[in-house]
Formats: sequence, structure tokens, C-alpha cells
Amino acid sequence: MQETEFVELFKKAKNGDQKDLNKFFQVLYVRIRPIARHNLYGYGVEDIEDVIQDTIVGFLKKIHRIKDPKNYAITICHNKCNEKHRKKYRKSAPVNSIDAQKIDEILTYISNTGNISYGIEDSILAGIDRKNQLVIIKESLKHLSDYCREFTLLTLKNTELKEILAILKNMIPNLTDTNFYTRNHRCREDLITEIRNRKKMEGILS
Amino acid sequence: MNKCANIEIGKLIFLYELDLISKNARKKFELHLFECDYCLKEIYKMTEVINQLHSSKEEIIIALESENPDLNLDTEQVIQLKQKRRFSLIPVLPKTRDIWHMYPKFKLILPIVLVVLALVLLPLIHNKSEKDYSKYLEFEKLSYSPEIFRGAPATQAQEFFNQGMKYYLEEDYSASIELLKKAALLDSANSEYGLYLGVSFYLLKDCSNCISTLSALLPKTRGVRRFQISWYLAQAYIGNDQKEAAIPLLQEIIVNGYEYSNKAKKLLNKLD
Repeated sequence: MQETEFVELFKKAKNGDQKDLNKFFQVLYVRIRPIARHNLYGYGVEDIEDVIQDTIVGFLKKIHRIKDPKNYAITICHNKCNEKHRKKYRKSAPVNSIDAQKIDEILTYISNTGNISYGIEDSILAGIDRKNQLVIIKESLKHLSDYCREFTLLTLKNTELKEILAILKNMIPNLTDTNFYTRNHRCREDLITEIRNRKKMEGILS
Repeated sequence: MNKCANIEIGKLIFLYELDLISKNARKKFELHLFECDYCLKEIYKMTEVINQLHSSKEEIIIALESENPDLNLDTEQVIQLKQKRRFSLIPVLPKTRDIWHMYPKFKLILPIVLVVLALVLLPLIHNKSEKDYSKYLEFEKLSYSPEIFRGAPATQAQEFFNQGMKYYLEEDYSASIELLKKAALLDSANSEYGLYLGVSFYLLKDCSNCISTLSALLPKTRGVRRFQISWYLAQAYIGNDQKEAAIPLLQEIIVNGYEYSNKAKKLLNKLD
């Protein structure tokens, strides 16, 4: 999606009919979901869906006053996630019955069309039970390069980024900051490849 | 879309997923997700993997470490770094960072609270840090015996002085000050008038007036009277938080100050 596309959709939704609203909020839902999930690791799907729905409600309430829709959506989402962390979360209600009706339609539309109509691929581990997911991940990690395993291990041990960088620089003396980002990105790609290979080997993916 | 719209930001994807980037970088990446279908798809692709990495941390660590003991060598560095980290202020309290991010209002309230606290506490700290020496002072009257003048009639200055000293002996120092001032004005050469005026100020705990009166008198005076003046002047300096000015006076008294030597020595010890 081009930068302007989202803004165009937003402008249409602002002045258009329910159809435009549905379309815009479907896009917003797809973009906001990973952000909410990222901020709410350890929370259940229902909690995450609550936060996304509330972000949509909050957004719709102020849609005519919003100038920067991306920033605004991210901010509401973060605030709602923070409320969840603080356990002060209250589901916000629509302002009036017209809003309530609009929101119902939007949410029904999103739940019917979901990600599929937007073409978002599922997780590479979708459809595998949690126990097997863990086995595949562990095996895949073991087959990564020393650097990638070290990086993952340090991350799992809650080491801060600059400390990880310092340790990895000891391991690879000519490692620069730019290299570091590129290498990490490559680790991720390698991990995906390894997971795919494991899945094939386990006969999960034909 | 098969390519990331902004590779520089796109490279942050793994760090974002592992929650390793700063708040600013995180926001940048999240904004990027609105523009880049490729990264969005990638994020969705890794959802379950990242969930597992977060929720089954311990198991994965054990698996990685048991499989490859070489990695343990480097984890020693982590332990060392973490021990070092314990001595720095912010990482000691990792929760505070979370709270800081969770409660954005803190960013507004905290500086205000700190400024108010500083305004309230600084004067207190300032006062405490400068030791209060005034508790060592003795507000003791300088003795006086009225003299009976025979022969020449008393001057006006003497009359004011005599009246003033009557109040002085009755410990009505405010009244004595008024009269002694007049006496000292009429006969500035008589150090006795100035001395008792200064002492009256001192006994009223008006150290600054005592200092101005006695310090003007000191260079003109010799003998016992000089040490009397020095003694009261030194005490007035201490009462006025001017310890440094009092010390040379006390030292001078200790050397030649007769009856005040012991007192001055004790006071100087307390000041040290």
C-alpha cells in the first residue's frame, strides 16, 4: 500500500458512506492488529480483539477531526494497550446510536471478510498445535548459524540491544551497526526457511 | 508486493518482533506497517513463532544451551554485563521503564513534581548542610558597674549613656539601644558607648547591627576593651553564619584575651 493510498481511503471514509467506512476500517484493522498484539504479548485473543475494536470506536468518534490518521490510530492503540496493562481497561461505548449502528456494521464487515479479502497470509505455523510448534521452533533454531543462535539466545535472556551488540562485536570483530541490522534481518529469514524445512520434514507441509 | 517499501526501516522487523527497539524506532516501524504490505505480511507470517519465543522462553533457552555448550561461554558475558548493569540506576529498575511507557502522563507530571520537590527541599537541605553554630553562642551580658562622676558635670552623651545603661541592667535592651545610640553619636570617640550599644544589639540577637557597630569600633580600640569587642563581635559573626570572619577574632582572643581565652578556645573547638 502506497503512503497516499491509506490517506485517500481515510479521506473517502471521512466524507463517504458506510461502504467507504467499512473498507477503510478493514484496512485499519489489518494494520492495527499486529501492533496491538505486539503490545499485548501474553494476553488472550479476546483481549487483543477488544483493544482493536476500541481503537476503531475511538477512531470513528473523532474521524472528522483527525488530521494524521496513521499516527492517531497508533496512539489510540498504544493507549488502549497501556490501559490493559494498568488493568484500568474499560470498553468504550459509542457516543450515540448512529455511531453504534456504524460500528456494528464495520465490525460485522471485518469479521466476515477478515484478513483473507485483504490478502494477508496466515502465520507459517498456523494449523499446528502449540506443542508441535515449539518442537519445530526449537529444531529450527538449533540449525541456525552460530551468530543467529547467539543473537536469539541473548534476546531470550532479556539482554538489552546495546549489550547484545557489544557481545556480538566480541564474536565478530568487524561487525558494524549496519551489519548488525542486516545480519539480524537475515537471521529472521533463515529462521523462516528452517521452519519451512522442518514442516516439510515433519510432513506437515506438502 | 514482493519488496519492502523502505528497506532501512524494514530491517528493524526482527528487532521489533523481539521487542528490542527503542520507543521512537518502534513508532517509526509501526507507521511503516501502514505503508508497506510486504512487512505487514511478514509480521503476520511470524505471529505464532514470536508468540512461542515469548511464551516458551525458558524451554527454548535450555534447548539451545544444551544443544550447543559453546553458547554458554558467551552467556557468561551476559551475566557479567547484567552484574554491571545492576550498578547503573535505570536498568536496576526495569519496571520503571515499563511504567514510564505505560503512563505517558508521567512525562508531564514527573518534571513538575521534581521541580516542586526541589523548591521545597533545597532550602531545607541548604540550611541543614550549613551547620547551625548559633546553638553554641552564649547570650551573656557584659558586666557593668555604674561610675559616679565627681568634679566636672556630666556631658549630654554621658547622661544618655547612664540612662541607657539603667535599661541595660534591667535587660530592656530595646530602650537601652535608643539611648546608647544617642550617646555614641554625640561622643563617637568613647568606645564604651559603642561597646554596650553593640552588646545590646547582640543580646537582642540582632547580629547584623551588632557586627556593624562593633566592627567599626574594633580598629580604634586597644587593651581589654578590644578583646571584649572581639568576643562579642566573633559571636555576632557566628550568629550571622559568618564562621570564617569569627575564627581570626577567636584566635586573637585565645592568644591575648585574658578572661575570654578559655571561652574562645571552647567556641573555636566547637566550630571545628
